[in-house]
Amino acid sequence: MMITEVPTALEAFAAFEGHEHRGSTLVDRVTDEALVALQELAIPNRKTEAWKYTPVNKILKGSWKPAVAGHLISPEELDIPEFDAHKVWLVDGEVMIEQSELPDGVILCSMGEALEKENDLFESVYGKQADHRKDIFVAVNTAYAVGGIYLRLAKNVQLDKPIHVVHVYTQAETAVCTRNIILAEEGSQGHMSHSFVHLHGPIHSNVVTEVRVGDNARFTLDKFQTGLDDSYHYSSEEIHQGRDAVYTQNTLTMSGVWTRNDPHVRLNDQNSTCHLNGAYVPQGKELVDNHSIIDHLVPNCESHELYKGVVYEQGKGVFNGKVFVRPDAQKTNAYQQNANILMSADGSMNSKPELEIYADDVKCSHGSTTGQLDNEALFYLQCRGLSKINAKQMLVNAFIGEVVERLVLPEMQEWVWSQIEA
Amino acid sequence: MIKIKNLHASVEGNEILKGLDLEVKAGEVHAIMGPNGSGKSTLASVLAGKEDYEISDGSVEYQGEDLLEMDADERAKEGLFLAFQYPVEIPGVSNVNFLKTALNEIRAHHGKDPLTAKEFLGKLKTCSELVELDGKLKDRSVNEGFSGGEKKRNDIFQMAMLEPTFAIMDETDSGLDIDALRIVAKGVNSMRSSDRSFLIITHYQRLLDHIKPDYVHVLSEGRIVKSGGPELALELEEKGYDWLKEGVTA
Amino acid sequence: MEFSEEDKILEEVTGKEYEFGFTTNVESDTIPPGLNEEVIRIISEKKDEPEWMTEWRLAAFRAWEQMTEPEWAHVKYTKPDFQAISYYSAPKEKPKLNSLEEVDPEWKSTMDRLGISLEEQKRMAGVAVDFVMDSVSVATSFKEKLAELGIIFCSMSEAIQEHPDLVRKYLGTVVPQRDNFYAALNSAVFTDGSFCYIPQGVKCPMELSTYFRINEAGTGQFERTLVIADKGSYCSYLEGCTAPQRDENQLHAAVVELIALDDAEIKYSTVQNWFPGDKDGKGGVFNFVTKRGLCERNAKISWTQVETGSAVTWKYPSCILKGDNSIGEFYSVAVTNNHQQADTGTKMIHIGRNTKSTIISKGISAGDSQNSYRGLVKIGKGAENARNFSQCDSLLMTDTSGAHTFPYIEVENPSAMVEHEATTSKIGEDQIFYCLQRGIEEEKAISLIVNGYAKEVLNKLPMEFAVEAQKLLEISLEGSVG
Repeated sequence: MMITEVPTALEAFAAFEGHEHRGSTLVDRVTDEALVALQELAIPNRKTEAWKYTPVNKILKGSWKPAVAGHLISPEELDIPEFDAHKVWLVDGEVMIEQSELPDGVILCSMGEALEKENDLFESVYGKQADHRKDIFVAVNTAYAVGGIYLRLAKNVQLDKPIHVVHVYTQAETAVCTRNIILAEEGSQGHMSHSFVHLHGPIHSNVVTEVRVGDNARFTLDKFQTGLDDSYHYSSEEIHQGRDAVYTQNTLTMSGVWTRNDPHVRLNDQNSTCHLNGAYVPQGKELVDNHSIIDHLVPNCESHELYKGVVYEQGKGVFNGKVFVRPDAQKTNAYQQNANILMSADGSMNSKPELEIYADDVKCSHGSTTGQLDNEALFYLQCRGLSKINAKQMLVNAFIGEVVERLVLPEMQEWVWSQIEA
Repeated sequence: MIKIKNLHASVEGNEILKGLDLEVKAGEVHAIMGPNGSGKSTLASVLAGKEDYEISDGSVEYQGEDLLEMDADERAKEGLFLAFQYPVEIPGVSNVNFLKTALNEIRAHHGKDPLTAKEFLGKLKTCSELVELDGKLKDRSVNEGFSGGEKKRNDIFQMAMLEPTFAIMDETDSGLDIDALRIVAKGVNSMRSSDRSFLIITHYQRLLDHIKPDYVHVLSEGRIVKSGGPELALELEEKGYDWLKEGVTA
Repeated sequence: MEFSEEDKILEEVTGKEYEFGFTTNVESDTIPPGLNEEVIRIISEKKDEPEWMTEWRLAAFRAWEQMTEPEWAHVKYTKPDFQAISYYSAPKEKPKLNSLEEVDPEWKSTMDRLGISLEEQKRMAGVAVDFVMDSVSVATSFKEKLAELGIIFCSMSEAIQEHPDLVRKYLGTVVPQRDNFYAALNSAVFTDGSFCYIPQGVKCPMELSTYFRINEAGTGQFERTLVIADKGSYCSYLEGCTAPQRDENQLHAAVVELIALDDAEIKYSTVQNWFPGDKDGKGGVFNFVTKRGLCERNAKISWTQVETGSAVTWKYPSCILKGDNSIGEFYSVAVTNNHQQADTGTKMIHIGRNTKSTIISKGISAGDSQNSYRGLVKIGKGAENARNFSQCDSLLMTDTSGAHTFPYIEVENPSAMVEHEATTSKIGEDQIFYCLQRGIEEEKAISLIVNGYAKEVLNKLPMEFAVEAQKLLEISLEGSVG
């Protein structure tokens, strides 16, 4: 009798042997833990709640190679937005920071450098927020991370301009794992935007960011998931917020064969606020999955979620918003809204708001709608001379606009519009 | 203006203020800093007259009167104002209607006639410009749908409208971005005068760069353990609260 | 408002009429208690009704005998003994007092606070009114004005005599005799009520209020009201008043039928303050009312009500949106205090195409009271493009009060859009403290908050009513935060 071995994710990354993430005692230990996890964690399937609508086999049962370093790119040829920002290039995970005047108290460097120069701070965060033991994609990232960005804003420091991180992937059939750390210390204010592009596909891009927003600090993180047509993109953020802290995350997903976003927020101290906004437009056979978790542990915190999707052709959208309000979290205000439009009968949307509320003096609301474009509105626009296609586009834009408008900078809004209309 | 002597206050059986002494004279701006749990908010609530607290000892003299004998609304009518740490929402009651009611109640208490519509609107305009409050904010219900920063600015707006004699600001700066902070500071600074006093309770030194206090006090474990001029805040910023603890226990 | 002065005069006048010249054509006697066909015939005879009316009543009675009294899970009360009630008695004469000094001081102070004028108070208390006025001419001028426009507004009894065709055509078309237990009882034994007919294209220029009814009797036990707005007409009808209705009659089973023909509109407003008896709800009034409106094409019916105080209320004003493009609206503020129980709501039945209904229900629960909202939105198969918006809010003033919402949404047509929202909030101590700290004392703070909460509904009331309703809310909720 043949004993068939249960496949593990390790096999998909067999080519990575020898390319594991090593660096210091801590990093090594964490990597080893991740490798053990990859050995022991079962590959999720339809019966795994967190992956019910999102198949993972193409990635976790695929065959990925590490990228070969030193690939040259000509930036002008890439479809990258130009923002008035401090620019950082991540080419297949390797960090290249463009020369620019950073304000005092802003430390922006590669994770490798940070490990050296800011070891204590680095080690206080690394591997402590993202769970590489239980989450299989985080385990992949932890085991095989090539590089990433480290950003620290010292006390009361304000970033004058956003930091624009451009992720470039050059080689087909490679998996590139990027690991980042963002530390916004007490009273600081900062903004970081990520955009992506790949030259050849398919690729698996895996980005995990551990974020700590200190007391009375504010941080905004944008993810422009465009330019990822032929990729399987996983992106998770583990955010811990302190007292009076404000965190905003905007996720715009306009491309990608398979995209999964996992923002996890812990509101650790009073009076902190988090805003999670997302817009997604899957088409063809694309799949976009936004799984968020917000944990209210203490009183007087606020969370706001707005996710809007427009599903074209045979696209697939998935939304799962978990909000926990623990027994001590009195006077919590939690709002969650997910609205979706299906543009074709072949598309599908699975939306699941999950609120677990254990405190009694709270204000929590959630709404989820899925429907079609308003026929009357369409007709109205056509009567005013717009072609059906343009009318549809106009309504879709109006719908998605609510999320796009939340982007802080007009130039970013403009760029996102250009991507949507493409 | 206000003399607090040996104030002991507890809530649900726990003593929070353990013999607090403080004197604020007319025209002065005092800052109170302290670690979490030191009793900062308790002090603010007790002075404003929140009923949950039990005063077991001590006295508070306000403009020559016994403050502790007065009900909360009476204290307000006598010119005491509290900018709340967590301003509440009151849906259905517009900001304008709320303020008009409050303003006229206070005026009535002093034997003054209520403001005419024209006078009221004029005042509304001046004050909202002071705190750069968006015109639309005024048409909404009290704090309904306001962000944290907007709620705090609304409290400063109310303060400007009600013209108190003694204003207590309970962590007004917590969670504000730098722009909002500047607006709040501008509002407060423009209201400084020889017959008005401020008690600014803050967790972060940053606010005091914008609103320069005359005196800084450190509250720790229910008592004021150190007082000084504005330099004290900077010292605290550098050395943290533990430095003080060492000094205290010595 | 140009009519409020006249209102007041008219009130005094009607009271005076009662005193000065109300002629009863009926001997002031009372039929022995009990309900049977004999009693019904006597009632009909006493009122000198035509044969068809008597037959109509009898049909209702026979139907009633077959029915069973309904059970209401959420409402507890001692069932009235139907055979122990006397179904006809002469209009009650109010006890005559010589001056307001003799009136219960608590009652008087409530009247003062509601802003009810001294004259009005005297009338209500039954104090002998002595004033020199040409009462008949004042009353006549109103009747004249209405008559010029062809508007009929009179008592039900009068209508049966003077306008039998209209009554026969419309009575029971919206609430048939067999509709429910209490409607059947009412149809059999109704004593009086209001009748109103607005002719085609006429917009009634004044609020029609029960004060206007010349033959005002005491609060009838079984009142029957019929309002017909003919094509393209408009009228606004006010029922009730803010003065507490103390009544020995435990049971009230009224029926109100509204008919809005094509392009017509009826606004029906009710402000009712039932004296709830004592603090334990004993001796309070049981109010079982069937109110229903029928809309033809492009017609609109709005029900607006502010209710406080009844011990047990069972009341569901409804709209049948039969005609295409018809609109039904329901705005309500229901306050319960002490140990009161309210089970109120509405039914919107969408039958025609492109019909719309709006429901805004605001419940305020104080003390240990229970406030339930029960609403039905029914979209029939043929109701293309029906639209409904319902908002049911509850405001809890204490930790021991309760609010319950039971929305029933039945949709049989896929093009319908039904939206339902419900919120529950508390007037917390934090909000009261916030107001206190801004110099607003507790009572005023509560009234600010409650009025802000009920604003949406109060705005729908005719102005004078709105002001009184506001004061009523304030008074009913005194000292209730906790």
